[in-house]
Amino acid sequence: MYFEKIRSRFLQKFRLGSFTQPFVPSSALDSSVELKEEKGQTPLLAIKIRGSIHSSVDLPRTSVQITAADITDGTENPLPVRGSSKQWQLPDSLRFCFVTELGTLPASITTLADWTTIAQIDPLWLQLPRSGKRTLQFSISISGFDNPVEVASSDCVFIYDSPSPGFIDLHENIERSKILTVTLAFTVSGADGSLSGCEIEMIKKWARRNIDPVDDSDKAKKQIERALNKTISLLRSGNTVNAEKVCLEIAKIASPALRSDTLEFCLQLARSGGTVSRTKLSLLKNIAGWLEVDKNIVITLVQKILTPDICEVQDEQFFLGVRPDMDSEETRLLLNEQYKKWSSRVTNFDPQIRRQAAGMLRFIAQTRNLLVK
Amino acid sequence: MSNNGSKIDTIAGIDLGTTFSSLAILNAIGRPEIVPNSEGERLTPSAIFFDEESSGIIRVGIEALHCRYLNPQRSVRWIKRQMGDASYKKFLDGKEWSPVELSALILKKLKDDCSVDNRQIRDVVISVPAHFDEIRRKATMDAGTLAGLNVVGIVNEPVATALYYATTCPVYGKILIYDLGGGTFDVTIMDVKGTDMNIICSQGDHELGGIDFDRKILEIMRSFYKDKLGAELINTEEERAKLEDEAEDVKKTLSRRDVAKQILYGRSGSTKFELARQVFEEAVAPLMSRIDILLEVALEEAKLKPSQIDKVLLSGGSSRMPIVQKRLRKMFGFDPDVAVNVDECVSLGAAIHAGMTLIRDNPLALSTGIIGGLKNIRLTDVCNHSYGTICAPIDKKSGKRVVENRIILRKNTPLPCQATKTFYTVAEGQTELEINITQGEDTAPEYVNKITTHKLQLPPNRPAECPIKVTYSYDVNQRMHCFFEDVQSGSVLEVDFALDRQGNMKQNEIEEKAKRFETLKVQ
Repeated sequence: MYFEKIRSRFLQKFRLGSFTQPFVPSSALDSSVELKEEKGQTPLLAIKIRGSIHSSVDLPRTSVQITAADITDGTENPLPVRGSSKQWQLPDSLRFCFVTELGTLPASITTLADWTTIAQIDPLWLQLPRSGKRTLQFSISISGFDNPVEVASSDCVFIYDSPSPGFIDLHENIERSKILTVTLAFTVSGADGSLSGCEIEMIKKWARRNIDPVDDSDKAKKQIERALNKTISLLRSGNTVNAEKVCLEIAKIASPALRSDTLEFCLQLARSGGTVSRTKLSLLKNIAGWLEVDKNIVITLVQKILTPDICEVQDEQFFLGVRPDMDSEETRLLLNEQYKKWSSRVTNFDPQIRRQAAGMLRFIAQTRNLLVK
Repeated sequence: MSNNGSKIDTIAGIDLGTTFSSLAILNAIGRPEIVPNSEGERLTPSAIFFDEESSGIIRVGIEALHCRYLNPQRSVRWIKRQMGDASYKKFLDGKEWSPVELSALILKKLKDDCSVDNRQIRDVVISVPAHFDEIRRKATMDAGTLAGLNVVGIVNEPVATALYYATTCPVYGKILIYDLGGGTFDVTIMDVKGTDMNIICSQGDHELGGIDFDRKILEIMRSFYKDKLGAELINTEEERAKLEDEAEDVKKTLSRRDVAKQILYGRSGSTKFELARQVFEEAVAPLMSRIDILLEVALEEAKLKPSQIDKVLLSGGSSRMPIVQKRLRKMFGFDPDVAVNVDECVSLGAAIHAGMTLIRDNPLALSTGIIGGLKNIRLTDVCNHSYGTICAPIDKKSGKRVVENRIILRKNTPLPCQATKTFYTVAEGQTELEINITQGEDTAPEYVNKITTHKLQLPPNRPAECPIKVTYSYDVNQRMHCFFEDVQSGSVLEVDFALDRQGNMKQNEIEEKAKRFETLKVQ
């Protein structure tokens, strides 16, 4: 779909300025990083230094600060590495920073002839911009604890293969899944063969509220509108969308919360038409499965948004979680639980919830009558 | 018993039913007795008719029931189902009538009819379904006050039934009370040792009663007529009113016979209609499934198996249907007990409850005969609903604050009861706390009722996470007290549970309306 072709060009938002090496004339410090992987142990990044550190004054306490940047795209275009929690972040910034004490330094040149480990960093403390093989530049800076003048510094490069998605990946995934949600919503809307005006408006409203334009310019906003209109006209001219493929992509890239948001929007959209056809209900049921939304969440959302009386078919599995493999006793217990839940809602102050509860109680009783022997 | 001029104040119990109501008084030795109405009937139909020809008179009872065929727009039935619903109003002659006011007319009729000779009905206990919430309970009390009654208490219908059974027949063990009335169904499980009664739990459905079975018959009649004569059987409200009663007759006949016969009169002619009990039972199977579910849920809550129930007591006119007894026999393996009149046991039990309430609250107002008759009865009731408050804890999965309802007092806790939970302020410098008292079983705030909201002022300049201790207690009179304490400052907010939501009148409003009701002619 044309709409899917929009690609966020937000990468520059994340870029750091290019690096300039700090100038510390008297010290000659080398640094290196080694990945220590021992069986049964959490892998650690060992930060090591060697060389000379020149201090002009006695420093009874010194500290070492380690920061990192992702220079996979070159030192001209570094990307930040974030700390996964406040403990591993620079003050007032998300950027990774590890600080530890180094001990006493006399007012002379201290030489470390061998590689000395000064810190062991759990890779989980780092949030990389991207997953996969990343070139990381670690910057080590040694300074007095009370006198923050830097006495030595060093940079080293390490290639780390990150298994988890980076924060840019995650951001892109969120944006991508929102775009896919819109595509999916059009599929739900058009499930009965035509796109209704009010459903289109609902989708557009959702897209405007949720999809970030590339920037705040009118041009960027118009780009979204154009993409929406193009998608509508493509669907109206007979093109179809493979809902399963769209869902599977969302399931692959989106968090569970985002996937349930997608399902929720699709359900709301289906409800907005007043009645839900057999085809639409079947599609929604498939969407819930393809998106791999937790079964209990599916039931909660379906019960909250749809009511059996607006659906052309009353599906026990979708509304109540009755699975075909359940025996009579399991079904009975499940229905009793559902009845207990809805029975306490029939006296709700909100007339809509009261109506919904009354409808659910009728539906549960009918289901029991059919399935429990 | 106090003497008020020539009239003697009499303690009474009232069954304010969906289809029928009745009143019982306590006699000199503390035994309950039904008092017939002015038509000599022991049961009064809960029907109201605003007579346009005699505008000063409001008809209640059998005459109102008959009049509704003539002008259904001026008649009201099944008002109990609307109790507590602020949106329900009946507009007549430029006046709007609320469910409380309409119920008060039924109560006034009972009171006036029974206040004859040297007797005056004043102190009463009115029965309500066990599952009625606080709003509906308060609405029922308000209706009693409007009718000029001193409502000393409210009793759950199954409890009233059990009280009457236990004081009439020898009852021991785990007892299940099956109360299928005109408009509601309740199931209560009790542990009874003679006149020592402990409620274990209750479940109920306020939209499941005799009228729902009648409606099924009406549906069958309509489709039969349409199939046979190709026309609608019901075209006007008058026709509907008449056929509703005919459907009820068919249901009653099917309780005695295998087949009920009726002539259906419609605009396209008349036709003979026959309904076999088996067909009726198939049609009402979904309704019976609802009852089965509630029975099972009650048993689960009581942690009992059907085989551990010693006796099933029936209450409510609809429990006469053979399908009820057949299903109970199948579930429990024995026949339910029908030793007392199922239409009257609720008001008779409510009268006993009224006596017990006065023994506790004002024993000097009672004769030694009544005290002697009731002194050995002990009843432990339970909390009918769960009560909680809205809080905003941090969700462990997402790390975000989520707004949720946290239950403090759980449903079916024996009374009196008290429970305390500690909550924490959410923001630094928080100087105010919104306090919601909720009723309902859900965690999701949208599914519970906020029954009252207050504000607790807090000292300034404090960090977040300051503890707030919340204590709810519920006494034997089914009144709730809530206590909110800011632990550090000792600042306290106490809420004695009084409903002031729309649809529940304030005390001065009730008193003012009660004066106007005194002048109404209800016959």
